[in-house]
Amino acid sequence: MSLDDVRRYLIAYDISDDVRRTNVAKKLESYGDRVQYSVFIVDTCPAKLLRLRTQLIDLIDQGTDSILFCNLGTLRDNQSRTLDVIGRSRTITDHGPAIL
Amino acid sequence: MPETLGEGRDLIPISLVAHQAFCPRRAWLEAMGETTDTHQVAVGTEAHAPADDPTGSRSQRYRAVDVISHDLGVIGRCDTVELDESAAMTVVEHKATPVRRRPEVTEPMRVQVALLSGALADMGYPVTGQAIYFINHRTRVDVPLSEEDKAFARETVAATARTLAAEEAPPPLEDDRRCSRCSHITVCLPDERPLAPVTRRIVVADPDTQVLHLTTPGSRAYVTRGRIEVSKSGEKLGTFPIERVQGVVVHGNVDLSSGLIRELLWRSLSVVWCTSTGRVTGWARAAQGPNGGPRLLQHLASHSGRIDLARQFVSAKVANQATLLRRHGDTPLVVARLRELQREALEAPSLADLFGIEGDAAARYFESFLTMLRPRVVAAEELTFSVRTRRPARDPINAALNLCYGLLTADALRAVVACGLDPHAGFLHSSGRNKPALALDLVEEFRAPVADSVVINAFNNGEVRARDFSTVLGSTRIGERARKALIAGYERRVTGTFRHPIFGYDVTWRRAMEIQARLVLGVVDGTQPQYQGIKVR
Ligand code: SF4
Repeated sequence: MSLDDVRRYLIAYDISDDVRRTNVAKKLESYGDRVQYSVFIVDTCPAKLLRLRTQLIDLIDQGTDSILFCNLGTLRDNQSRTLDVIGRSRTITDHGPAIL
Repeated sequence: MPETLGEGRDLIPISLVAHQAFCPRRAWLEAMGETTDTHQVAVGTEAHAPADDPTGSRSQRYRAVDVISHDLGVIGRCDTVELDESAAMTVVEHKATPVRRRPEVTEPMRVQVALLSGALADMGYPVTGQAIYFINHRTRVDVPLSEEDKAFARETVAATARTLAAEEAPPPLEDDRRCSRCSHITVCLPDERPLAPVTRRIVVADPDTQVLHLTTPGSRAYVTRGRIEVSKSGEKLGTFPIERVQGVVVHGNVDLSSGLIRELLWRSLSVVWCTSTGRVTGWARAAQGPNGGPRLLQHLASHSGRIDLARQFVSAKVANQATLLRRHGDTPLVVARLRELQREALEAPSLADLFGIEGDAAARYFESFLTMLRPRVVAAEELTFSVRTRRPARDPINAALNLCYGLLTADALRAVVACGLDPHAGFLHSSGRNKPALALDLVEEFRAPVADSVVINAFNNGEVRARDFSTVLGSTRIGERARKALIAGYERRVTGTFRHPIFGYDVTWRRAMEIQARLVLGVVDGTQPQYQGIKVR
């Protein structure tokens, strides 16, 4: 396995309904990290992103809600260069050893 | 798996017939329960949710229509069935073909739609046509069927039945372009069979997942909002997205909620429990797993003994000890002797002789172990080490080795379970003493290059210090800091790549363990001519 196949996505949503918004947020939390109220960072290989997209489509009302996917490139391209935060920032799950 | 319905005839899933049309071995692997989670498969699965289809606005379409035909002998499911004004039906299959440049209708697709529409017609519905919708190309291609197409589909059903009824797996294709496109290449290993260099690049699923280690004593892990959360005394220690988890290792006194265990098993992820000293106490695996048939053969082989496998495990182990000692140590005579023993292992007439060789090698290797540490570190940390002491560990180095061998055993267990083998039926280690014998067999060749090397580097680089250990009544325990440092060092090692000495491609150590497990599976089920241990150079 190679981290070169992993891409970083910024995913943001605009959802009016509380229940649908909660469901979408939950789904995104299982894949990645919440960095702002309705903004997530998800590091994933393209296949899994596709799965996530399909799952999200089932959760929203395509007439009123919207979810924005922004492909930030490979993880390697992203090493601390793409994201810059002023003020309080939240951590993004690392790809190094996972020890809790 | 074929499903027997009333009339005593096995109905074959149409998806299996499509696999057969692609490659008989793929049909076999799929029927054995070898589901792969590669890019293509994920893409293919998701393709069946036709939400991106611009034609989706039509009201006259049904999704996921189950079909069955006793005449054709198949059972299956249509992605979508479209109806026109007169209620005549068109079967539309959704396909994602991310690796293809052009939307091309392949033989398996043709067979698949032929059977789907044939079955639909048998059920009494008027079928007017069939089509493939290529998601990536947003293109719909009509697939008119000739009588030959229909006859070929029927023949392929019969061929699938023959594949499934066979005693042995069909051999992998040789040097065939199909394999590059095959979703099952990572479990089929067509190019690795001859134990010679492989030129094809192998892409393994799930590069974005990790093994999660739970180490905080007295903490509790549970699943909430799709994340594994760990807390202690009401305080949240951290969370991890569950989609990023490949497996969980529990170290010592950590509670897992039953909800978390269930969620992991649902996802076919395994859990391994270790004591805080690194002894594996147990594991949990999903009820579903592949290769139930070959597992029976494994027990037979284990019972009757396979000295050829046992020789390879020991020989590779000793060879790797020699290599590590040559790289880091300063005892050429011992290295030379180990090289001799490694060759002797290949000729050993019995298991007893093998154990003799292994023990001889281990004694010499561990006598020289300390020479692999920097003299400055040994002096400053007052490290001592003379013999391997398992339980209890008598010194920090032994304690560190115990932990890393435990981590290695957890990985070997995962590898064995992933290919459906039984961890308990081994070839070198005795299966009679309730140990995970096959996992321990596999561990042997990885001890020196993975675990020992992690321990040596951790001490040499000062990531682990003698003061991180405490010795009470002659038994040495690892402190929290050193445990985390060793686990981190181990994870960096197993997720790091090396040049595979047999196949010549770059591969992670963790993947290499699964490949070895699959070679054992091949030897057991007869499709792999012989086993060869990994000997690093
Ligand atoms: S990798 Fe090749 S031999 Fe193996 S199942 Fe796929 S197409 Fe068949």
